[in-house]
Amino acid sequence: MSEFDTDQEFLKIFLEEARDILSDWERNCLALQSDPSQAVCSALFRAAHNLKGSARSVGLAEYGTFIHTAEDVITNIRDGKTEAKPEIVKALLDAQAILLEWRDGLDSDSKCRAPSRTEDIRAKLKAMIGGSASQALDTSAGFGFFEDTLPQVPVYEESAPASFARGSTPGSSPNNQSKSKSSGNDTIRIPATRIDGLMQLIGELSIQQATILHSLKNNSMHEPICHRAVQIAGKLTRELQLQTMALRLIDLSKLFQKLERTARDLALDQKKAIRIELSGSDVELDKNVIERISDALVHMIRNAVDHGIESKEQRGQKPECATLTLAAFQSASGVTIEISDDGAGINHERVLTKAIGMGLARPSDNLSPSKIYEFMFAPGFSTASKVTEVSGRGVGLDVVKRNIDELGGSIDIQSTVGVGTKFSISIPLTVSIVDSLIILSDGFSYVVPIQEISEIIDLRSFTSESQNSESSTISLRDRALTIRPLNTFLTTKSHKKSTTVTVTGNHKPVMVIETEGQKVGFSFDSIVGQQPILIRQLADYISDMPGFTGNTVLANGDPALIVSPKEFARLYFKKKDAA
Amino acid sequence: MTEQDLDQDRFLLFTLNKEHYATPLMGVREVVEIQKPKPIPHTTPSFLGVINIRGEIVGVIDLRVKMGYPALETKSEAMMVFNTAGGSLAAIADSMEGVTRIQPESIDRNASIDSRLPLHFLIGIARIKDRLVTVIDLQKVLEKEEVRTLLRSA
Repeated sequence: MSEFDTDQEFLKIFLEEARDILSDWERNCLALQSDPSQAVCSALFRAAHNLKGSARSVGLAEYGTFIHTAEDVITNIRDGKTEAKPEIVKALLDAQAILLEWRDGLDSDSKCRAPSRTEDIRAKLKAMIGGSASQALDTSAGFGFFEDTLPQVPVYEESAPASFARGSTPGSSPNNQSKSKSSGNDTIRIPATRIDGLMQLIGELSIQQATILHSLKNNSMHEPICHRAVQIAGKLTRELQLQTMALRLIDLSKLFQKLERTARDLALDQKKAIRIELSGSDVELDKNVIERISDALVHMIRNAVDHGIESKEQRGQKPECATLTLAAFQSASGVTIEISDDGAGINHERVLTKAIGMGLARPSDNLSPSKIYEFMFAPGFSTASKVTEVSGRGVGLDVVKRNIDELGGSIDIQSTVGVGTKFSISIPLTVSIVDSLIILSDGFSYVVPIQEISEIIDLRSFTSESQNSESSTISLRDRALTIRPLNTFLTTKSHKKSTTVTVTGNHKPVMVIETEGQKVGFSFDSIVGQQPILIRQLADYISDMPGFTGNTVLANGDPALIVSPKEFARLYFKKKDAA
Repeated sequence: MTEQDLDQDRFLLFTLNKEHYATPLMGVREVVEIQKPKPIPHTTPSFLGVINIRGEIVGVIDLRVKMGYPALETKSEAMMVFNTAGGSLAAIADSMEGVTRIQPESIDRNASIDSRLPLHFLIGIARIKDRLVTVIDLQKVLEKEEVRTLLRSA
């Protein structure tokens, strides 16, 4: 191995380590505000100090020097020379954000230079320490330094507003984080005991395999010993599957930390006082799921701080400091995450007025509050009278809902005007195995997750009210339902097909799909069966095609595509709207 | 010479429209029996679909169609499987001829040839017995494979 390779190897190890340390840094900074104890200060100092040491050992001198500046500020706090004021914590968090961005840069290019804001932050941090140093010079030589820490405050406060404004450019830190997520976050830390468990199982499985092979060679496949081996192998395989899937489970602490920071940054920005309560950060969820709900939760937490929590003046009787609670707990079907605030609550009359204005409801409809809240998930729905930087991020509640829907989860809103709002998100524990329907279309089998289908009807029991070349309309419980052949979305080059909806054979099944309040039916040839399906990701070269979510191997060994009729329905309505 | 160097000059020979080709053996993951692929919607004509290789789903490329030759009804008996960054891909040629050693110095790297294969992955031309063999890095060719015909959602 050449020297260059070794260097790269060390750099890689450092970058892995840096991500963990920076996460500790962030956590301790967040803790510092509520609990400026010696233990937290020391932990923060250790994080900075270790990172500096590691950075220098892999030749990242500049990286180390920047940390050194931050470390000086931390030392001052630890030694009681500086108070852990919100502005200082903010600056330390900004420094962390820069280091993280820089780290991600180094991940893709080992010669990556410091991000452009680095110098500003360094100057600010320098001002915080430099304040005391220059003060010391002024007061007179040498030993004045230690006694005269108080006068430094004015110096530092001058620079504080600037740090405030620059550091909290809207969304700067959350954006960086979401970028880092997509770049190099493909590693999971796994306790060694879990690996040992897997090794054990694989060992046992290979013993059974040897027994089966032996029976096969001696033509004794029907002896009890072989039957038992097959049974045990089956049990071991299931166990292996479960344990392997459990490898992907990680706890929610990192996600909660990110959410806490988002809320804190925003509250500081909007000059709102909030207290954040976390519970259940040790609950575990599939890593995939966590990544997919992360943006939705960030959006919801920003919503809660931006729209939910009132400004100090508007809080009236309630304590000036608002409480935001993030809770996760395990339930029978999966995991529930709750975001609740004691803010203004949702004015459902305003929501209803808006819904009527958008044509989603009629004034005469008598709707329950929960029905009214559902309108908030409609695309383009916002009751915010002004578009703030926060709500103008292009992610609406409709996207949140869609993300959760795709995972097979659900959202529930409870809200009382003047008392607060609670969003509950329920997510199934794992998304790797879903109950599915296997169907035939043009002689090929496709897999459809059952949760996407509202109902299945047999077209023969309906009379078509109108029919044209590509669709047919029937009346389902007094409402018109358009039916399209599913195979229009499944065009393969090797097959000629009829694209009209015709009834042939004994049954003509149609799946009814509901998306964004609209319904459409897709007809297909026949239903093969229903079984739980292990979803595998599509290879890169065929991924990203709308409506095709994965593939799997059926019990007979044939590969089959997993399709999402909801996505097809969305495509269909989009095309219809455009026409 | 180390073991690795010995492997470097081994090549897998195959034919395509009566022409002879060779690809570095080290790039080939395995050679498997042909299976009937299951078609995937919205893909290019050369992408025949996917097959199941021991539980793994693998895409299948018809090299004939990819190179612009007419597709044959009777396909070869085996497929070469490659690992690419985008996932595993199996390639079907007309026939698989076997493995041979080609000394690096016997490959003419400056030969000007007219081939339908993407020329930047061409290694050169070698003479084996009386035949001229086009030496190409198929793994690299497939690495750049784009099989989607539908606009991507993202």
